[in-house]
Amino acid sequence: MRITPGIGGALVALLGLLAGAPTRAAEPARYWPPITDEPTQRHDPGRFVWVELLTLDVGTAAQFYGKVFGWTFETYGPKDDFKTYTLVLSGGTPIGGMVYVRPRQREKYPSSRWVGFISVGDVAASAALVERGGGKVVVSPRKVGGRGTEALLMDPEGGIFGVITSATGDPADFLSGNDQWLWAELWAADAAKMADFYRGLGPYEVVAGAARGEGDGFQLWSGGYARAGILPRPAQVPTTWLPYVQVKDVGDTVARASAAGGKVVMQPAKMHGTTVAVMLDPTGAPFAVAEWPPVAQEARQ
Amino acid sequence: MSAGRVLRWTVGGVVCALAAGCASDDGYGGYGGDASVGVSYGYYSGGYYPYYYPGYPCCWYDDDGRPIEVPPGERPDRPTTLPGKPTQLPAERPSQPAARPAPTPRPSTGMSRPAPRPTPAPRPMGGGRRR
Repeated sequence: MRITPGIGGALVALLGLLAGAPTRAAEPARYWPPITDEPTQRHDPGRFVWVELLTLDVGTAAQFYGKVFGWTFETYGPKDDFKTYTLVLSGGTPIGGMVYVRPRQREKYPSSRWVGFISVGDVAASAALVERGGGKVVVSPRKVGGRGTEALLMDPEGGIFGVITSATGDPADFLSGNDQWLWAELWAADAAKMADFYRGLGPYEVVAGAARGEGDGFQLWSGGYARAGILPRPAQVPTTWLPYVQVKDVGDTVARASAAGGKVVMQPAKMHGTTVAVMLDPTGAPFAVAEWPPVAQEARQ
Repeated sequence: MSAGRVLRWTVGGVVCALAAGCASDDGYGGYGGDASVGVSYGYYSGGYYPYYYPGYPCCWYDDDGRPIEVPPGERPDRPTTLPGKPTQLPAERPSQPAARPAPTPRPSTGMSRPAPRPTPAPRPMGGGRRR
């Protein structure tokens, strides 16, 4: 039987749709935590001031990092997990966030990754600089809640990073403690070329490791401090930004991470009084751990 | 055209418009569009995210799904760019605090966060593990 809705039926349908619209609009907006608890109004261009994990599984990642580093988590947002933001805290201090990414197609491999955000004075200008340098704008500059303005960018080798102008300012510029971010390092095929690419972003003073007797890598300096490094990568691994977590004992951390489902992809290596290792979390995101400071290590040995 | 037909077209148009609007917020990624962001893209929307472009680096996994380990002989000569001297990082300068300040008690006026909800549970399929 064919049913032809009359005017009354159409009106009811229209009213129903209109009545339903406010329900959707009333869903809690995504909350974007500011990157500082209290406004600082300081800006340190070139510093990595925030880190976010883009992951296929926030729950699994939270369990892992909670076991390995003792981090705690606060999740904000509506019932739909995919629209939440999970704040990462170390010792009660916000140190980063975790957000879901959901691929349009099933992935063959885990593909989560940590993305570091560099403090910049002008996000749009930084995005333009990246494009001029052969990189890409992955997510265009935009304001995110009350946090500030961000963009997600990609260097010419495919390394993903973000830039941010924080509305509340950057966190104080202090040395991290154990189980907190210590360093950021790009593993790149052509480290020298990438050093040139990133030079203008901080802007950075690029210091060649060879000049310091420290190998082939480069350090990116701003504000009088080393802020990040660029290291020639082995051929078989992709170009990747690696965030470093400072730990008391790399060996113990690697053991805990392995027990919690992580994979060690570079076994602990000693160098200049410190020890580093590279691992993958259970959702596939690479990260490094290191003991710091090296002098204390040398004194301990 | 009858009034009923006009209304049906109108309803159809509204449905299409709403559907289009919803499609722009398709739940892909934590940065997907919503009212607080005011944009309709996410890390994945539009399909431009590099994960899906052949040739872009993605994962530390080989074609068989095994993590790519860096053998000791193939690791960089100096496997880290961490500075060799503590003074090259902040906090060793006299003008800098020697340690991370204590966390600020929350909620603080004007900066308090909304009430958190439970952190999501791990996904039944193991999340990012290979399927």
